[in-house]
Amino acid sequence: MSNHLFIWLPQWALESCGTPPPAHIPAASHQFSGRREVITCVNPQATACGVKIGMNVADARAGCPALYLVSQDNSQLIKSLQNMHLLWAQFTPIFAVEQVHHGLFFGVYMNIRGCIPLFPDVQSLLARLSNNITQRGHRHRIGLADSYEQAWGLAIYGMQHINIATKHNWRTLPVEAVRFKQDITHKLHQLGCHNLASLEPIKGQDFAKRFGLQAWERLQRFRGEIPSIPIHSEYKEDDLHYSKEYEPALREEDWLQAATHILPYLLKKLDANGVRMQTLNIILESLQNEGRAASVQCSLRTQTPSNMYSHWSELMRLSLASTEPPGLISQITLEADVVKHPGHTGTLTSDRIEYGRMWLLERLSQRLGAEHVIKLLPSLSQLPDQRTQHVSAIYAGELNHHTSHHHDVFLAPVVMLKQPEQITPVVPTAYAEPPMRWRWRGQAHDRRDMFGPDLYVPEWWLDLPQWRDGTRSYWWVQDDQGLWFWLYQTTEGNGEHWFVHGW
Amino acid sequence: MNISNLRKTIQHLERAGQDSFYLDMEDHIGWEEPLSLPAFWQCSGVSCLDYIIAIARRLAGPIYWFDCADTDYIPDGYGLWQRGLPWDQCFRIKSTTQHDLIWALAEVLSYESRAVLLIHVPIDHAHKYMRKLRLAAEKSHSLVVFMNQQEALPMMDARLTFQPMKQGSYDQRHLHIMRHYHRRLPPKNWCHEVKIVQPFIHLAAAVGT
Repeated sequence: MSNHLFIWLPQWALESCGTPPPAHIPAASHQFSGRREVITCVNPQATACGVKIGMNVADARAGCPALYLVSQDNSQLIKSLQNMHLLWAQFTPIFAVEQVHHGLFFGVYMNIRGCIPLFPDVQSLLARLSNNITQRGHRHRIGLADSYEQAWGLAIYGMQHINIATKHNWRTLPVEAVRFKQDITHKLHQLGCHNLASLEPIKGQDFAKRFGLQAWERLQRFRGEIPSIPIHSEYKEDDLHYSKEYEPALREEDWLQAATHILPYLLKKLDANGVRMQTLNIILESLQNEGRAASVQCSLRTQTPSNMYSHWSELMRLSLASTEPPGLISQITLEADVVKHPGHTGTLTSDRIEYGRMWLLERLSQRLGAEHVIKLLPSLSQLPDQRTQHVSAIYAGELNHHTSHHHDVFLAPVVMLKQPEQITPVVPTAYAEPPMRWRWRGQAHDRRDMFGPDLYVPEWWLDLPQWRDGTRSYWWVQDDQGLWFWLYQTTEGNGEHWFVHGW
Repeated sequence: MNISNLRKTIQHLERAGQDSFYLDMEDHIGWEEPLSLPAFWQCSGVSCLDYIIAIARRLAGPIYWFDCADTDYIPDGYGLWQRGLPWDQCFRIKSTTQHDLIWALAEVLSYESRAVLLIHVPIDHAHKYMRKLRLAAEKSHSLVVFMNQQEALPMMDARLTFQPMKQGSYDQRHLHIMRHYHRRLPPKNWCHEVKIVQPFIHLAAAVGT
């Protein structure tokens, strides 16, 4: 069954360069071939202008003055191809980037044997794969065959966009599809063997004697008579653990220090993977009698994922100091449960401060309780006692841009009473002004100055019990001692009522 | 103590390479020279909050409001925001026991470098606790402000008392820093009694006028 796949990306040098050329102008990439700069990749517009692969750059410029030239960096192209590993890993964990590309044949080998049953048929798998590559804007051709060599030949020299090997179609491929050495290919052409079908009559012994055993093996692999060399898959599971063996074994009392010592290596890996650690599992393997091993596992968890060494080492010191391994420690393994890196929104310094503060708030919450560590956030309401919401700091979301709903001429108090306290006007005034003299908490206050009012209308959609009295008019009132009070007046029922709400 | 001696002290600190923290307060208190702030303050009441908030705004750090669960008054984030403190830098911490309060204060002091800690609950000012807090405060430039303390607490660097003026002008208040010394030096040598009286425009009154 055909399960060896090769995806050729013919325009990869142009598509993945730093500044991709516009699609409507002729463009080509060039590379130094040892003696001169030659064209290695052309787009259809450049082909229409007569630019061909292998052409001298000077000749190409002469033929097409508007040619957009891109210098080709093979190592960079391979690296960017390897960075697409997530796309290949969607289909199979067995894939590898073609390393023998000669600057022309950039592509990926895949073994799709295991994932064929996941799709209705092979064609739908290939169509899905092709669609995914096209969505990323890459031209490609796919070859599917019994061997990697044949898949490579079909992808490069096949006539279709997706070439699936049948019993006979690979025989029409040119001899270049086998990737013999150049002199062998040349001799075969001289002998009149232009395609693989013409090699059929040649006996294996004679072919090996004439062109060498290596060429014969290569042809056999191409035909699928010798299995292909398994590719070294570049698929990696998330590498989120670090372990270290100790020989001679570590003393029990030294394990925490040793774990703290190897923690930076794990954090470095996490940083490289762009993830942050939320749970740290520490596995201590101890040697016991008769070579049997016993292991102890302990884990640490934080609310805020972090890769900061100081946080985790401090947590380890605080939480795991009492953990006792059963014997001498032969191996310490650190495993991380992670979350993806959130996007950076601020500067590095502000981000670090913010994460450090989150760690502090989380630490406070762990001891005092999340409901006792509170962050003040603006709410949608405009009412004085409703426009600040008290939210648990570790669960508070990010603050959106806050704009004042209310006119800011009238200051709100810094301190607000939970429940407004009614005052007793001793010398009331007319015209709904604050009283000239009032008593509050057993003390008399004389009004010296005031300004206001600031009117607030209840928000009917909230239906707050404390706002059922109706409109409130707030005043700043200063007493003869110089203290400022934030008073409000309601007109409920038969008279006016004054309350202290803050200062 | 006069201003010239304080300037000499600051110059001496700079020459000695000490890490002293200066706060530029000329737009609030009228000082042209930077002022090195003490760490532990005691305020007579919440009326002094406007001064502390002005200092916190210049510190550009967060405010931690320590109180208890059964308090009858709470901070208003909107009012703090109107006075120039960002929403995301206002925190309220409710402590249930003295031990938790001291621990939380020490934690915040150890981490935050420019925070203002407003303590609205009575605190056990035993020597061991205050020493612990002072050691934690040594690491940072944060201010610890004890509000609403009836009796004078020991080991305070500055006391802020609200003194209304009697001359009929309601928009001026006085700031008194009774004692002042730099916290990083032995207090025996560098303790100063400072009395500064400068006019201050009350924010609400400024808006009203």
